[in-house]
Amino acid sequence: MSELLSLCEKAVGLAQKKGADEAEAYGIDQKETEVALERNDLKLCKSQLRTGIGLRVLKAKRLGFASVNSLDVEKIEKLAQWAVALASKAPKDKYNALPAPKPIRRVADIYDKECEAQGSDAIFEQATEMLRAARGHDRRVVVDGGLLNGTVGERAIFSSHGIQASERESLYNCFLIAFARDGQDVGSFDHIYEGAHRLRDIDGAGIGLRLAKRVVKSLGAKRTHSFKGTVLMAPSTVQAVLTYTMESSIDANNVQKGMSKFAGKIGKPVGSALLNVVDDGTLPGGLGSSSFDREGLPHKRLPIISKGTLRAFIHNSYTATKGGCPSTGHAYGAQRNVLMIGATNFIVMPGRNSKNDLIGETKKGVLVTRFSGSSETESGDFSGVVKGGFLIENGEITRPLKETLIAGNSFDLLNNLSGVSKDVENSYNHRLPYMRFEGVTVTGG
Amino acid sequence: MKDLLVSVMDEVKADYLEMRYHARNITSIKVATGALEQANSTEYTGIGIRALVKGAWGFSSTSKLDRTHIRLAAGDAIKAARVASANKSQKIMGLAEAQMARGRFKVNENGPLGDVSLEEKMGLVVNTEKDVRRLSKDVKSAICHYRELLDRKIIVNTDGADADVREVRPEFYVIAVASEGGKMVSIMESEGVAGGWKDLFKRRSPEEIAEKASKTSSALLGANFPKGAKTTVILDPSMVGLISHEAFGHTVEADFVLSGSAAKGKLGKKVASELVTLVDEGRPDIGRAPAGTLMVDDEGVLARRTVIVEKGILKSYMFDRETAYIFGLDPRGNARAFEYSDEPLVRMRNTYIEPGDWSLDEIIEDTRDGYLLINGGGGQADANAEFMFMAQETYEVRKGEVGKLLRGAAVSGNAFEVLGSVDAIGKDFAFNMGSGYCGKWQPAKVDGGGGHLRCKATIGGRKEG
Repeated sequence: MSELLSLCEKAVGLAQKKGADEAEAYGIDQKETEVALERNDLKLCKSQLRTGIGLRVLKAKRLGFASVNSLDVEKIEKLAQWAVALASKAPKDKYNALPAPKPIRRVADIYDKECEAQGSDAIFEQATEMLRAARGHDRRVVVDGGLLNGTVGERAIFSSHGIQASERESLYNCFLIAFARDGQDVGSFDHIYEGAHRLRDIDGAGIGLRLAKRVVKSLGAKRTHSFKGTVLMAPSTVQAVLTYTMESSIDANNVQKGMSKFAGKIGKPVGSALLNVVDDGTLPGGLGSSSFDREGLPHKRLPIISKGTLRAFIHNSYTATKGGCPSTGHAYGAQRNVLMIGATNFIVMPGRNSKNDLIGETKKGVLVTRFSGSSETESGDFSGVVKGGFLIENGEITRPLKETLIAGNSFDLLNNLSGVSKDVENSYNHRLPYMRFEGVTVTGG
Repeated sequence: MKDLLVSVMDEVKADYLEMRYHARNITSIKVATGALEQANSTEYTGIGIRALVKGAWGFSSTSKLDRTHIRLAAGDAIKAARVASANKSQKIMGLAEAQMARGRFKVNENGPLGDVSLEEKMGLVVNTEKDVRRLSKDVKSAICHYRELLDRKIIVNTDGADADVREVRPEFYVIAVASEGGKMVSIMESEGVAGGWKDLFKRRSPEEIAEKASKTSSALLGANFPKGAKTTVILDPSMVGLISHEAFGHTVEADFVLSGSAAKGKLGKKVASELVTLVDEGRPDIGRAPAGTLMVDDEGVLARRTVIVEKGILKSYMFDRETAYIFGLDPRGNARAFEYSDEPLVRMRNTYIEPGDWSLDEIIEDTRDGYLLINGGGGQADANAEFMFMAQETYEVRKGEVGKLLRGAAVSGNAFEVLGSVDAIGKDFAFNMGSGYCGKWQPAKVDGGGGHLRCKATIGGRKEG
């Protein structure tokens, strides 16, 4: 048993001693190294340890939760006291219960032993590559900021119901934000957010170059007039407009509380037959992959929407108990928060056409590479500004757009889906294609 | 703790060293449609150490508060700065002189949060959520959330800061989700302050907040969407806060100006209508206990008022000490870090437009054709000064009268053009965006406001205008 896991066990024991009927402790012990970029240069180097334990207790079906960012035994004693005190004042909920253990299978490629010894130099090298590639492509590119962050460490969980598990993980996050400026012509921001479990899988130069190409293209943008037509969304726009709404609508907690438009729709159509969605927390090397969820249960590959028909909701053990079904292994959250429900690797399956085919078939529309706006997850209503947008006329991209807005409803969009690309991009734990929708309102400035 | 920090600071060698002990305690209670989802108590305490060595920054932090670990973290910060220096092309040439804070600082707490028991807070959240559903038959789901952040900081640095700071920030919000047939509308109403329990509910009681959310979401179920168009808009104080913060504030953060934002090179130039005076301030005399209240920033600098735009002319940017040195101007307390494990960045505090002399009735009477936008939601800024933010409710204004209620919409435009088009500002000042957080690498509690304001902007609607 690792030191962290035995501290979790200690926390559970202390909570029970202080009057908890059931208790679960989730801990992390990680080393973090970060290089931050600003104004086309390196800004700061950061190195620190991150530790913490979150303790969930139930007392007569009443919930209490406390967390602390320390692994000191005195703090853990206090933690048990707080959690039990909160539970004794909370209202009763008959569905509150901790899960029983299930067999766990190790997910591959989420830990690289080499990362343990990796110093900040290797991270600097990739960050520098990223900068060099972006600036080298075109001097008009301004890297406003960015970071490359590496975390390696352990997470562990122990519960009074016999769950005990721990695993090591290495994770590198890379975020780069840039725009282009040519005299008084200032383009729109754009960004790339990617990650990998091994540093050598982060392609700093590739990320810098891709982003540079994108921001330069948005220079010389002009307004357009208003119309109703086709909108082709790039993967990052699909994420901003659609996937958060879909993820919220398949969350069993929202379904049970009347906050999901997918409620009562299992087995029924919720979108065009072109739409196929899968969530898979067991994907080797996936950024949302791990061997166990936030309450120690295994993930699985779960078809969510098949040919437009809704197949499943995602559950943790609370909603599963309430719904009378097994948990799907989607308990989610950090050690600082009481657990919620969340998707793991959210995948919209690719279609048959290339992105260029989708553009070629469009008479009049807009390609949206980034969306800056609001997409209300319950109702699906979205409204916002097109960033890095391009006008499509007679099958061709004619010019970049500025001060253009799109608005509509995500649930309607799913039914008006007219094309899905075979090209896919990863936006962190989302794997998404280009998606084309008909009948969207475009407002010119 | 202070003596311990100072003695470690004296032992290590750096061109500049800053040590910040930050103890944060969060209590969070959340009820959703009859079920308690959160009854949380979180402690997040540690020391953040930032070192400047040979023109580059290094940062480290520790949650272990003994001398050995603090010394180790200081060493790590210095080592990180050396590595950064070896890789950085434009070295930091200096930090601007600043008025360093010394002594004790405490936010005024009208009705200390500690005097309200946990049972009372939990009871309020449970009952308010119930109220939201009870007040309208259309509202089938609701959320009520109370959260308080209690902070104590000890900030020392090698340039003379020695401050002991206590801050208190409670926030309270409800969400009402009305649904009927296939339609669904969700409305959020919130309050957030830097102050006590009485400050939090000074403007509206929990019952009034519940009623507003419930009734509005229900009324919006039957409402149409506005037509998308460039049009005259009257913004309420929460939306004026958003325009100050999103549309303008971000473009004049000095780190962003140096990157080449649209505000670069515009100091002394006309950037807004002459009616507009835009201010960012840590401890404003105006308005009630705004959530962005800050007495001392995380570089240990005393917070002072920054007039960004005076009668339409751009007067200043917002700085940390590094960027103030580059511009040769005064830092006024805009360097903020969210938690001990975060380094300070240039951030806003309470950003507002000073009140004018119109009443809201006069503005409406004077408007022939436009929209009144109420209750702002999230927003974003862009390098080219193009901004967007959300209004949850939209009212038609026709021939000097408020007409039909319409669904919410995104509002967008170019900050300079939109602020240039301001032709009326109300005298009814309020801060009203205190429950939200600004996100720029790290979260920050900010606030914003003003009086009702009339300008021209683009609304994203469902029908082309």
